[in-house]
Amino acid sequence: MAYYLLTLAVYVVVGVIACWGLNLQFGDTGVLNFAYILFVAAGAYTASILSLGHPNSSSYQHYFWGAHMPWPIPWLAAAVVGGLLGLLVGLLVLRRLRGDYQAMVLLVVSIMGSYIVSADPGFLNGGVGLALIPQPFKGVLHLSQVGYEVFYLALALLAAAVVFEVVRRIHISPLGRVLRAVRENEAAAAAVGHNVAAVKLLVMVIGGAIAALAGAIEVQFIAAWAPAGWDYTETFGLFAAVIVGGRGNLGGVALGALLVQGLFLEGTVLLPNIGNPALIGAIQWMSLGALILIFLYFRPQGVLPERRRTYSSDITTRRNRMAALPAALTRRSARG
Amino acid sequence: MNSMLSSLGFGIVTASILLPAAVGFTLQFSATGVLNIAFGAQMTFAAYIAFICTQAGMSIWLALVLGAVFGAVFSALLNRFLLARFAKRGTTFFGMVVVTIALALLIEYLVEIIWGTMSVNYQMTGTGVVHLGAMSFTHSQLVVMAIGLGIAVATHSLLKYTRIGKAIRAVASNTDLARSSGVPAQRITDIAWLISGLMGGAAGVMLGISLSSVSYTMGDTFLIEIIAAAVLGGVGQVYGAMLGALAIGVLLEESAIVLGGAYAPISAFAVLILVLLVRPTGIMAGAAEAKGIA
Amino acid sequence: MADQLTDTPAESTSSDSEADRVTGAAILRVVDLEVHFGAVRAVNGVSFEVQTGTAVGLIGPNGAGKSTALKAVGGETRPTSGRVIFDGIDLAGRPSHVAARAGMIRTFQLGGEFARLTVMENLLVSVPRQRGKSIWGALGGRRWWGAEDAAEIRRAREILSRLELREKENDYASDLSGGQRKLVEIGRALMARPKMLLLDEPMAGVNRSLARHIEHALSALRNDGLTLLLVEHELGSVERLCDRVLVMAGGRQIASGHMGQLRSRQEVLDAYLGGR
Repeated sequence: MAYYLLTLAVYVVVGVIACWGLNLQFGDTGVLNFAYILFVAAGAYTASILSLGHPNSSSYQHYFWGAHMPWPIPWLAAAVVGGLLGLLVGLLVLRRLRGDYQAMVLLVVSIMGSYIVSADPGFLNGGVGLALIPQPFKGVLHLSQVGYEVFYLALALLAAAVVFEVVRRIHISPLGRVLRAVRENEAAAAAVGHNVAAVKLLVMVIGGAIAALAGAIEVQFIAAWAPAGWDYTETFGLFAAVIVGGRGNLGGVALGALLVQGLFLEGTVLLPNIGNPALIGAIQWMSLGALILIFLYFRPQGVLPERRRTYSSDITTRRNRMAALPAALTRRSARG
Repeated sequence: MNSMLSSLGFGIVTASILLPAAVGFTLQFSATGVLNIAFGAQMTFAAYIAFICTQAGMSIWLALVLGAVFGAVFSALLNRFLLARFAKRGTTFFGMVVVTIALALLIEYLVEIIWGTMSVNYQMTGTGVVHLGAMSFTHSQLVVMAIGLGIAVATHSLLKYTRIGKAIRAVASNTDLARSSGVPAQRITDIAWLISGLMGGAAGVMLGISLSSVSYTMGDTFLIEIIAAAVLGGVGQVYGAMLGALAIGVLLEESAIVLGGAYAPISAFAVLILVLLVRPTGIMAGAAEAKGIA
Repeated sequence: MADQLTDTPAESTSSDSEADRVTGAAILRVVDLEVHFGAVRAVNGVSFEVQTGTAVGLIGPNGAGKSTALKAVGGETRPTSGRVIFDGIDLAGRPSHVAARAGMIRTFQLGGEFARLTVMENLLVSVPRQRGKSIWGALGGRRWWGAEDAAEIRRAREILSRLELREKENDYASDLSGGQRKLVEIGRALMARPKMLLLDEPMAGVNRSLARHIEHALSALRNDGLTLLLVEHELGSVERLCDRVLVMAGGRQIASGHMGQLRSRQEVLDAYLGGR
């Protein structure tokens, strides 16, 4: 049971990190990145091949290149690759396309990504995916299984702390105001001097790096990665978490990830077996759809809505975050 | 060369199915402003309804009609009882996209729960083969092509010659203006959903006939091709969608021959992305802009 | 009073006399501006100049192409041809953020506010070249950008007081009345330290007393030396506010001059009556 709960905890931490990245794009800036899971996947593959070592032709799995790098290089490299992919996709999609095209083309890009990986078995082992991915310090530490899980959870929490500080600093800064201005009204943001395309490109890069880091943490934990695990529908699971928790509110987003990613998608494994696994999966996804609809209709701002930012008269910004929280819970805003 | 020609035949069949789907998708989008990601799932649902009909002993063609009618009614009900309510609450464009995604999940997995993950087959009799040079078509493929062509002609006539078609075009080009000049936008919205459901339903059953099997992820996969066709043609452009459907349909099958089946979708989408980079609003956009303003 | 708000050169603020202002150098020169939508020529060969520190009105019947011309000047709509020379730079075809950075800030006819941002945040968004607005600046934390931001907050409060919006500082823009939102937009434009404002119907759809308030605010800005180009239907306000008026009809510029003289001109009357 402890083993299971620890596993779940790592999944939740991964989900929280991924959702913070998505929130930067969707919650703050209003970019609908329907290819988000592709960035998670890119990070996972990067971390995989950077820890698997050189591909062995006699091996049962094939990949185009590999190396055996110590932690934290696979994670950092994953973040870099995610950022670069964000730059590439952003330049391709955001610069010239209208908003409705952007969303659709991103969806197409996500599916194309999984087609490409599945179509070529020599690239990243095709549809079967990569397996037996080494875990950081596993061989050195000689810990019990539960002991290692605790250690890995600590590593994941460390990464989460770094990501939190990054998104928090962006969130409270003048840049954060610009992101929200772009979300609210692109034309007006441009009319007061902001390059909207550049702002969106920025969040594609940073969000992409965060997504890829989440993928790297996940893959070195579960030690396997295949296209079935990053189907484009997974993106909507992350969207659901951000919507339910409260887009634009970092605590809310973490809560949403905990609820949706943790309890909802993974936690059902804890339930007694009520039928075939496919049925449980179908019910999970259906409930996820229903959950999104219910929240968008009755509480579009989420459980913990975005906070109103006020500045006290003696100029120093009000910093009492704890005091603001109950107010955020009770305040009902008209729109989300 | 022969294989290229014969795959051109397949391409035309695929295009005939894409055509009603892409036209329905884009017509509804231009009239209502809602980007309906659940369209593929609605197609699948209709295809399964047709499957029930064939199980009950009906001919596949009657089942196709009933599947299309179901698609129309289901789509209209979805709009009335769900999407219109969100719209009334002031849900934004992107909010509506997320709503239709949630709806797609609901429908797709409902279908999975009812009919399972195994694919099913339509009961069809008398599928002879007709040869046209290097191309060969089964009878049912010929009928599918005829239906695709018929829908193209019917849509054209509807938009060009009927009052309701003209009203749809008016609403599509400028909702506020159309409303203020007395076009009942609410009713046009209902009708747009009805027509798009009808076309989606028909396309779903046609896809099942062409693939000779129906599975719960069928429409979802096909949706990407629909979106590709619609985007290629310029979103909201009915005639553009027709061209886009033809281009994507032929491209998919041809590249399957040249590059191998696994790479076919990739090449089609690569072309889509390339086209969009050269012409960001689709191949028909320029013409549309002129019409929309005038 | 508002020198500290607008950052305009002192020489143009020194005199209030109309002649002085009209003879100043042209800050904006629009040459043969054309905007076509397919076959429709929304703006069809418009040329004019705006002198530094003056207010110029753009009037005409509905569909005359005034708003389109304003958008083309501000960069939101791409002109088909023609030149938009602002402060020595040709901005034609450049996106609106480039025009804004050059010092030309546009306000919107409708819905230009950032709805779910507070009034204060609406203003702070447009502060140019702020430390915390780059990604590295933001990651540097409050210690890096806090003091500068605090100074901008003080400046925003001064502008809000002047616009009589001080007590609305922490309200969401979406909770304000239509006229107050227009004031927020004007305040937001001022925060950008502009050389010139492009105002798209700043008083349309606003109740009479608030419209007067907006008019007075604009008039004060003009007197402080800020250059204004505005599209407006309310001709009384245009007459009081503008040094010069351009009349557009059917995409063309049909007359220009002082509002008082234009009132009696036959072609202007025809355009208005024909357009209705």
